[in-house]
Amino acid sequence: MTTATTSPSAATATDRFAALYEGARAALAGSARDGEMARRDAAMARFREMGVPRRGDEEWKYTNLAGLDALPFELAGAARVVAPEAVEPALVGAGPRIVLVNGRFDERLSDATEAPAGVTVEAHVPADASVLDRCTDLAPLPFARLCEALAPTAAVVRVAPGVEAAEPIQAVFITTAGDAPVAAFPRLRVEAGAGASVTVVETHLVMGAGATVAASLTEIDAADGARVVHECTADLNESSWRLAAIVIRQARSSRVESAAVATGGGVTRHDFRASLDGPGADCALRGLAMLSRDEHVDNHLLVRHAAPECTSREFFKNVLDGSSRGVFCGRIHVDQDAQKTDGVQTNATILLSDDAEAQSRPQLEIYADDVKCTHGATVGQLDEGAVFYLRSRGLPEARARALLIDGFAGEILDAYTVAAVRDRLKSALFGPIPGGAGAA
Amino acid sequence: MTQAQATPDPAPTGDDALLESWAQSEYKYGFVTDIESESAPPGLNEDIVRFISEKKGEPDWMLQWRLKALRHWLTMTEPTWPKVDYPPINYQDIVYYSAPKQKPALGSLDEVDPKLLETYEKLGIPLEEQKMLAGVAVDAVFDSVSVATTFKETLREAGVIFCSMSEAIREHPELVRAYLGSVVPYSDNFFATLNSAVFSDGSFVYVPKGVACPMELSTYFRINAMNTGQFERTLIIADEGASVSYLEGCTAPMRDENQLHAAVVELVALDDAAIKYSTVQNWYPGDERGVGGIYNFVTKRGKAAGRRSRIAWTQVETGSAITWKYPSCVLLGDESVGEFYSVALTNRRQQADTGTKMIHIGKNTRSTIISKGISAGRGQNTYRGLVKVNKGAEHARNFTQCDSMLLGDRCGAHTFPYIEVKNRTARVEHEATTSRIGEDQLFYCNQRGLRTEDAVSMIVNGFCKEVFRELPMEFAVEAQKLLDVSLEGSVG
Repeated sequence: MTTATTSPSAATATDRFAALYEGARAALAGSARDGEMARRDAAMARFREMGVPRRGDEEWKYTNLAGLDALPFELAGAARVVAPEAVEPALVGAGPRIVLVNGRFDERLSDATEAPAGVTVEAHVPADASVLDRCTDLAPLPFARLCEALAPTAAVVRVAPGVEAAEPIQAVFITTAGDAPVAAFPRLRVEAGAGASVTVVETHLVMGAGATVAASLTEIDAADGARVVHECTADLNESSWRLAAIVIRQARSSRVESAAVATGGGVTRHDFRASLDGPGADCALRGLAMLSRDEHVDNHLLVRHAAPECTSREFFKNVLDGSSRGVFCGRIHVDQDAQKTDGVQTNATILLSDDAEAQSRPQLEIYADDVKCTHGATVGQLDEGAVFYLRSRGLPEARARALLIDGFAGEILDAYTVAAVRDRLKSALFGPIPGGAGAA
Repeated sequence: MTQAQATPDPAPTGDDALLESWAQSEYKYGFVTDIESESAPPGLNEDIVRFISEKKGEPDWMLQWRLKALRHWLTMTEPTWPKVDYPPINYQDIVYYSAPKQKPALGSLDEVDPKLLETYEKLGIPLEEQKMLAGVAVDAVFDSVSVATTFKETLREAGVIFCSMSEAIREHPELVRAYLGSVVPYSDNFFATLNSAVFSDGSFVYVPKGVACPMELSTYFRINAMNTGQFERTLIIADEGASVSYLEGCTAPMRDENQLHAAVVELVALDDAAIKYSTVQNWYPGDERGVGGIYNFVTKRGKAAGRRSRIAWTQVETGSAITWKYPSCVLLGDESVGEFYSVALTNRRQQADTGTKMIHIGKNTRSTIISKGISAGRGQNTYRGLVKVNKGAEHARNFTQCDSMLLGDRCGAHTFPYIEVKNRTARVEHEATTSRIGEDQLFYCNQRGLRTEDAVSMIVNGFCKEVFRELPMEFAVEAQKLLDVSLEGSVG
């Protein structure tokens, strides 16, 4: 049991979020549609019930949020203007894109005119949160509820049944950091109709050096036979808190791939939740954290096999330098009726420095007997034998190490299907390493 | 003896029928010996603690330690994180002390209450016979007081102290004071703290410098009086260069009232010492509806305190309604080694949340974890284990393998490992698999002339082999038999 150490006069982060909502409620109500405020109020009430998780919370054991209490954050302002040149480097192609700055739709930066028939890319508040509701059956997600309550609007990508969107669709969320800490609530929803196919690139950018707190929510709803590829990247600053929930609901024979790589940042938490509700659904989740300084990334996942004959694959890797910390907590939950489940979960970590720390909890929770589930976790350092081998072939030591790290991380990066995203990540990750493959 | 009436499920067919008949096989060791026992009134307060301490004629420092634990316990809340489910326990309803009627000090077995001896015979551990058998000394704990100890003379010659905890507190206070609570402090956790306040008795072993204990030491625990929580306290110390193997086996009578068992076992291994602690646990698991059965909330921890010290835990857990138990190793000394081998079987409505903790503190420390979970009936089996490598633990090495086998579609198998690494030279590996007995495997065996039941037994025993081979000979035989009994008719 933990007790709050803050004095009663100091506001906790929970109180501060509640105050933000009170402050923003009138403005939100001004543009609200039917039932929207009731849903926001309900979401806020659920958040308040749970509050910002404390250290004693088993689900947050390795990610300490006490630092949020000391952060006097305000809502990210609406008036900031972002120059197109600042966004340009983050764009991945000519496909449709939607840009939200501090949670508000930015028409100037967005370009959805190219959207093919049957594909809509627009900003509005979703009329429900059924995917989130489904994915929080087993365990709650306080920050996702917070985002549901406070996100001014959401980027919504809809693909009609049977439509295959050829070009990747990009959703860009910009948070402008200022002198005072700001809080932002990016929300993205992807709805793929039966047999539809779509690739969505989710990009988070923090501009400026000030502190930011972003509670983001990504909802993916894949109908029968739909194919969704979701690739998420985040360019953050050193004092950013990114608390992201990626919730996925899959119907019969659908396939969803979701991957998240964080570069830079202060504290990042990804909560992946997938509910495989239809027989034959296939889900693949991937993550890579290459950290230095005192960066902290916590990848949490819960994949629920609720129907028979579903497949899930979870591959997460960490390369930890400096005094960084990489946390992995994955759980495959197999319902009693989910026979013929096939689940594989692996987490591998390489520690490069004396001060880096790794925590790993690969878990299985199985209530059906005809299942094939395995998980594995390894923690170690670079194989000195392999380094020696490369050096004996004439490679300088730094190059040899970079090559091995590249190979280790490549397994996750090479699975990125959007070439522009993959290349950007590679140069961001391997650029700084002398002679790293990405630098070439 | 209470005969539980099984409520038959819908008529099963084929393999399921065998499964069912295993699930319904009666607990063999369910009987209550009628012996006049002297009990404290139910409830827990300072008076009860004083009563227990006085009954045992303890010195003041012991009483003060108990009271300190009680006061701390009153500030604690029961943990809710284990993946087990049971009705709330009213700690004020439990009888915290119960002893067979006190008799004058016993000189030989002849003076022991014949009914007690009869109980042991039913359990298959006739003391007379064991005296004849080579190598096993038995310190039998009947309820809370050790009533018979054999082979003491032989052990004394070697300089080994093997006695009840009460006796150790009286005869060897300097050792008890130095080591009691040094591995599991009185404030450790809810159940260990409860135990520290009210522990009734248990075993004490001290193996002096350089002595290899000449025989395997063994204690049979037996819970008897109704409503009596069993609070054993065991302390084993292996001094420099010493080695000892300790066997713990348990059976308990059949009854409908849940019984709380909160034991604490502490092991201390100094430089170059080795302790091997083996358990076969077969307490009453409750009937098919989950009524009755023992709540086994045990804290077991070993401290590999010296250089090159070794601690090995081996357990075969087939009994208890609920098992909550994590035999752990604190690898403090450089080059110390920790091992954990476990078979946990849950059937009917049994629940087990068990595993280990390996805390690497010293340099070049190594640990191995092999855990085999078998779930049948409506059993829920959870492996929960921590591997922690501290900052200074250069070149620590861990290998963990936990495999689960599911027999039936109403049971659950769960794996919750925790890995925390703070040193880059560490190498930690964890592997886990979940499987069932394949129809192809059964078909192959059938086709070679094996009955399905034998095939299952063979496959399950093969699945557990890595653990069984770590058990001392007698235990290995017993463990296999136990598994066979538990497996009767259980084919998936």
